[in-house]
Order: sequence, then C-alpha cells, then structure tokens
Amino acid sequence: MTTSPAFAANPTVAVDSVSKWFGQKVAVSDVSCSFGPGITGILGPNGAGKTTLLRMLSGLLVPSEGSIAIEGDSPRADTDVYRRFGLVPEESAVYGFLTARAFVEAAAVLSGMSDPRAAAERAIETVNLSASAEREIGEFSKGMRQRIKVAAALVHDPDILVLDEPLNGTDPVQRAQLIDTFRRLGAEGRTLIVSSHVLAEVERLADRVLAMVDGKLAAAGSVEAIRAAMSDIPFKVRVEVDDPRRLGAALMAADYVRSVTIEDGRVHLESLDLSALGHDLPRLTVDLGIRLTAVEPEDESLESVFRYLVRRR
Amino acid sequence: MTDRGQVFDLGYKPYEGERLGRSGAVPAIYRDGLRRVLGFRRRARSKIVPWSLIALALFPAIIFVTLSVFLADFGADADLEFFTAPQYFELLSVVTILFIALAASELLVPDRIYGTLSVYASRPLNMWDYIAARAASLATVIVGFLLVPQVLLLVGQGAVANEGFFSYVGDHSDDLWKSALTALVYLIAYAPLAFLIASLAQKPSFATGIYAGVMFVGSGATSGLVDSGNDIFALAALDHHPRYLRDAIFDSNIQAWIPERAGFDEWVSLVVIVVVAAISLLFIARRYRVLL
Amino acid sequence: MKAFLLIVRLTVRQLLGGKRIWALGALAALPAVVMFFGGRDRTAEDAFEFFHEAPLATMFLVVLPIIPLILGAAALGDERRQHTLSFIALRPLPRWNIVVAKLTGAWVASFAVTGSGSLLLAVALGTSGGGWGPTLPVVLGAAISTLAYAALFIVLGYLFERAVIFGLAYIFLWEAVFTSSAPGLAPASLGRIGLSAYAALVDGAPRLLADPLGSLAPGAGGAILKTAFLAALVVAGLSRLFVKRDLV
Repeated sequence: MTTSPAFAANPTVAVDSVSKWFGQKVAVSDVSCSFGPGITGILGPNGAGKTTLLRMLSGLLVPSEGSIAIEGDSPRADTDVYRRFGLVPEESAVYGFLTARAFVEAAAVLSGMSDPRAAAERAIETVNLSASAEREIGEFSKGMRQRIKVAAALVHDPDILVLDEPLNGTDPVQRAQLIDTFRRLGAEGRTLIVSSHVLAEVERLADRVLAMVDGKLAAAGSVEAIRAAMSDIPFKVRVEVDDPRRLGAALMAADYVRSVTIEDGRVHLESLDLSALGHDLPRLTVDLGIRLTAVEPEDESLESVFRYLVRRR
Repeated sequence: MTDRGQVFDLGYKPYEGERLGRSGAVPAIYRDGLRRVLGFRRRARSKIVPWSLIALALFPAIIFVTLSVFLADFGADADLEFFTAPQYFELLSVVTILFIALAASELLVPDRIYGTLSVYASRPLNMWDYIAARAASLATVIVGFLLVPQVLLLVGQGAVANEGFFSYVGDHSDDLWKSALTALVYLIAYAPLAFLIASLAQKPSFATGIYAGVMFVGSGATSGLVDSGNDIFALAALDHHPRYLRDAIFDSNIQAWIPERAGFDEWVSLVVIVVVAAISLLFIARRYRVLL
Repeated sequence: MKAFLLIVRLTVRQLLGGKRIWALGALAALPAVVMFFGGRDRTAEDAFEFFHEAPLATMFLVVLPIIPLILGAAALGDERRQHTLSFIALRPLPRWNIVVAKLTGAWVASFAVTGSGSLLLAVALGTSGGGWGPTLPVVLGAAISTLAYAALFIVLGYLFERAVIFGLAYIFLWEAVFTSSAPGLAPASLGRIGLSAYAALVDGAPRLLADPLGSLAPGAGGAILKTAFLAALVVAGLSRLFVKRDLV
C-alpha cells in the first residue's frame, strides 16, 4: 500500500503512469496518482497539462501511455462508467439554441434518468437558475453558462465529478454558492476533481491539492504539507514583538536563520528549519525580556507554494 | 490601513516607435488576409487545402512543360500543341470556383465568429478600410491563382520553342495581356458574390458550400431553362458570363455558353457581371456598417 | 430509444436552425423551377423527356450531393470543433448508438431539404402534364442518394475541418468529371446510386438516363443495399474512431 500523498486512501479514480503527447509536444508526462472521496484541486500554470489530464480522466482523450480507471473500469472501454461520472468542461460546450431547462433535461435523458424533468428541476435549482430556466442559453452571460454546465453535470447525481475551471466567469456571489455546493457534494463522499487558476478559491475548496508543472506532477498533498516538503526553500515567518531590533539581532546569530528584516515594527525572517525556530523563539524572547505577540508563516498560502513550484522549473 | 502608495518598475517599456494609423493598419489587414488564405505563418494543416488547389491549377502546365523539355532533350519536335490560354482557363474552371469559395470564406467568416471584428473596430479603421483590405487580399490570391499557371505555361513553352525564348514570348505576348484581362473579368464576376455569401454565413464551410451551390446548381438550372426556350434566365448564368467574355477576349470558341445560346451579346454579360458585383458590394457595405 | 431520438432531434435542430434552411431550400427548389418554366407548353411525352434532362440531372448530380455535404459534414464535425461532442459522448450510450443517431439526424435534415426539392420537382412535372408516376420514385431516389452522401460526408466532416472543400472536389472533379467521362466508373458515383433506383421504378427512364447511368444497371433493391452497406461501414468505422481516437 502506497503512502504517497499523490494517491488517495480510498481511490475511485486511478491514474497509472499516464502520458499524452500531441506530435512532438508532450502535454502530460508519466503522471501517477489517484482521487478519492472529497475534493482534490489540480493546479498548475498555463500549459501545465491540467486540462489534458482531465480530458483523459473523462475519456475524451486517449492516453498515449498508461491507463486510467474509474471505479475499476476504463472510460474508453465501458461507457456505463458515465452513469456515475459528470464533467464540467472548460469550453463553452452548450447548445445556444436550447433553453436552460431543455439543455439540462437533455443531459438527464442522455444519462438515462427515469424522470428527466424532475431531475432537471432539481439540478437547475441547485445552481440558482430557476428564474432563467426558460431562456435560451445563447442569451446567457458567461457565469450563467458556467452554472448551467454545472447543472447538466449534476443532473444524473454522479459519484465522480470532474470540473475544469468551474468558477470561470462567475461573480463573487455565484462563486460562493457554487463553492458551497461543491463542498456539500464532497462532504457527501463524492469524488470531486477541480482544476482552477483561482488559487484562493481552491484553497477554500480543496482538501487536497495536486500541482502540475510542464506536464508532470510537481507536488501532492495538503498545502501545508507541500510547503513543508519544500525544505530547500527557506520559510518566511513574521514575528510580532515589542522590541523587534533586539530579537532581530539575536536571531541573526542563529544558524537556522537565513535572513532577518525589520519592517513596520515587525521581524520578517527566512529560516530553513521551522522546528528549530519554533523551539528557540519562546526561550529567546524570555531571555531577552521581550513580549512575543504573534508568529505567522508568510508563505504557507497556496499562492506562495504555487509560485515556488513554478519557479523551480 | 496605510495611505502610502508605491509603483514598482517591472521593466515595462512603452512603445516609442512610429504610430502608422490607418496607413499602417490597412496594409496589415491585407497581409494578414494573404497569410490566412495561403496558410502562411500557420500550422502545416492549414496549408493543405489551398496549396492542393494551387497544385491542381499548376499541375497541367508543369506536366506539359516537363514533357516538352523531355522531348526536346531527345531531339523530338517540342512544338507540341497543348492547351491554349483560354482552354487552360476553362480547364481550371471548377478548381477556380473552389479556390474562390475557400478564399472568400476564410477572409471574412472567422473575424465574425471569433469576435476579432471588434478588435478591428477599436483601431483607426473604418468599414471601407476593412472591406477594401480584405478585397485586396482576395483579388491578389485570385489573380495570382489564375495568372501564374498561364505565365508558367508561356515561359515553359518559350524555353523549349524552336524559334527561341524571346521570339516565342514576343509572338505570344498578346496571350499575357489577354490572360491578365481575363483574370480581371473573373475577379469581378466571381469574387463579389463569394464575398457577399461569406459576409452572411455563420461558418466558413457553409459559405463555401452555398457559393459552390449557387454557381454549379445555377449553371445546371439556367442551362435547362434556356434550352427550353426561356432565354431571359440566361442572365442568371453567373458562372457562364465571365467565360463567355473570356472567349470574346481571346477570340476563341471553347463551347456555346448559356448567354450565347440565349442570343445575348458579350456586352450583356459584361453588364450583368458589373451589376451583380455592384449589388453584392452594396449589401456587403450594409452588412458591415452594422457590424463595424 | 429516448436518448437516440433526442440526439436525432438535436442534430436536425443544429443543422437546419436559422436562415440556412432558406438558402438550402432555394438551391433544392431550382430544378423544380427549371421544370416549371421548361415544361410549359409541351406535350406530355416532351415534358416527360425534358424532365429527364436538365431538371433531374441537376437534382441528382448537383443538388443532392451539395446539401448532404454541407449538412453531413457539419453533423459531427461542428460538434467536435465546437466542443459540444462531450455533451453527447460522455453518456452511458454505446458509441454505435451515438453515431447512428448523428447519421440519422444528418440524413433527416438533408432529406427535409432534398426530399422537398425532389417532391416539388415531381409536382412541376405533374402539373406540366408529364405524369405523376415519377413522384414516389424521385423522392425515393433522393432519399437513397441523400443517405449515401450523408454517410460519406459525416466521416469527412469528423476527420477534416475543411471537409466541404474536399467534398466539393469529390463531387465536381471525381463524380462530375471522371465518372462522367468513363461510363465504367459510374457505379463508383454515389449520385448515380439514387438515379439507378429511380430509373428502375419508372417506365422509360432507363432509356432516357442511359448517359448519366453509364454502366450502372437500374435497380432499386441494389441501390438500397449498396447504401445500407455504405451506411453500416460508416457507422462501424466512426464507432471505432470514437473508441480508438481522441474525441476532441
């Protein structure tokens, strides 16, 4: 049994040594990971291979090498997989001439639902589009199209949902509502795989993150764990004390401190060993007779992690 | 909350060069049109169709010239009678329609469906600038498509002619200006309608198909109508008017064209061509006044 | 079945929506216009003979290929290039089911235009005194040719972005020039398949259509079988492509 954070504990989607190339361009290179119940975020800069990976998971692309299994079945070989699978693609993959209700009902019919109308109503209500259900999708704004795509993907109650940039074009209220919906689905034990550039939202949404750079898996796990694993990059920490200069001078002598800056009455330091810092800092402040009011990491955000990962290539 | 602000120098350098305005924008759209039709600076795949059609147009001339050179090497009489200039134009009639259909749709349709028309509208351009630039691109590729094979044939035949290259070309120099005039007639006859259809269609494939349909179905229909005594319908033989005029220019008689069978003189065909072109341009202007 | 019919309806709506149906309908109506004006003031026999010249030839050899080319090439090609293919492909439906539904939709959409045109043509013949006998055969022949072309061009449209140009080259170079010049090649022309079905069902038609038919013997059953075989081949091939190749 593997303990790598790239692999989920109870996987529903398994990716085994998957690569994809288009002519001379390698879009995804030897990626192995798995996804299980809960929300997994896939991050990466433009061209990292996120959409290509998601398209292979969905069965839209054939892996050049490796295999993908959804609950043990290949999406290319067994279309029954799609009874339990939903996709919100990045592109505007909608029929503009259909009304929102007709579009979601069509999705329900194609998925074999016994009562497509009721299923469509529920799905449309979930994304708060009931008031616009009789309008043609061609008249919709980008955010509304995005929501109707989510409704169409949810209509058949899938256990596995792949969402490629699902928050694109949505306003803050719509985004918050969709995030709540996704979190609820994840809490229900469904497998959600979300790709996004909106790091703040992914941070709120995902329990677990896979980062891709240049077609390869660059990191996996929780944000904190990924950051902790980057032991070659000094951690940035902000310390608030009532005498920053004295603390700064004392910290300069420590061999686990790379740099110290005093700014706006706070001490900003870079350290390669957080545990040594955490051990020494209280003792130092007591010895110096200064009051310690706050210690906060400055680069444990997803954005910082993301920047470090991209910078490393 | 701090009330200080700071601007960071990210190395941004403003453009210091000359701003050309309309005089730069129009040629830029013209050059873009040429690249778009011929697939230059684009993936290899986008070159396949236009260059296949161009190859089809050049192929007979290349074969004939090669044959003539081959025969001349063996001391055989290289003064073979191949296609005359008007016959060569006629040989290319189907391919010409296909090429014009392709070029017109590639020039106009993508700008509308991908939203780049609004990018042009935000530049120092007006509607006429845009249409003129695109029309110039279309004219260039059509005239090139029609004339290059003729020039190739003339030069090739001249190269193996018994009387010598310059003598041969001098004797056949009439063919050059007549070919140029024919190319112009074809341009005015075919291009505006192709442009009009492309300005209305939502997809390049639809524009191409409808234009080809109008030309080929129209030919078949008007032929049947004229043969059954309804001569007035000969005016709608859009595909035959330029070919009728071509035969007048070259003083040749490839076949009995529909307007000819209906008893119309060549000037009637010229009038029809000009009127259709004018009406097409009027509708194109109306369409783009709304869009731009 | 519901999903199948839904895909057919969606396809027809996609292909015939908007103003394009009028442009296509106008093209398809031209042979009828020719028959109407050309068949006036003729005897019944003359009208019948005239029908088998320009109007019928234009219908079967020009109109019938172009309409399914434009619509058939768009049926799957547009879905693929506009990324809506994922909407129907990522469903618990067998691949062949989806392909058959798309082909049926393309055929229905094309035949709505070509069938109307051929019916109008037959009506023009009937009202000119040439007889009503060819009505059903011409519509049947149109149905057969339309299906054959739709099957060919749906594949072309799926594989190539500029399928219409390739299709036009096929129609106006291969069929109009090569198979017309060499009577022995007539069986290789899809337009003549429908014409041969028509000719087998109308007295006197084989004689009048000897030139365009070339070496192809009239036969409705044979035409239907050939078309069904072509359609089956296309369905098998496309279904395999759906499984083996990328869908976007």
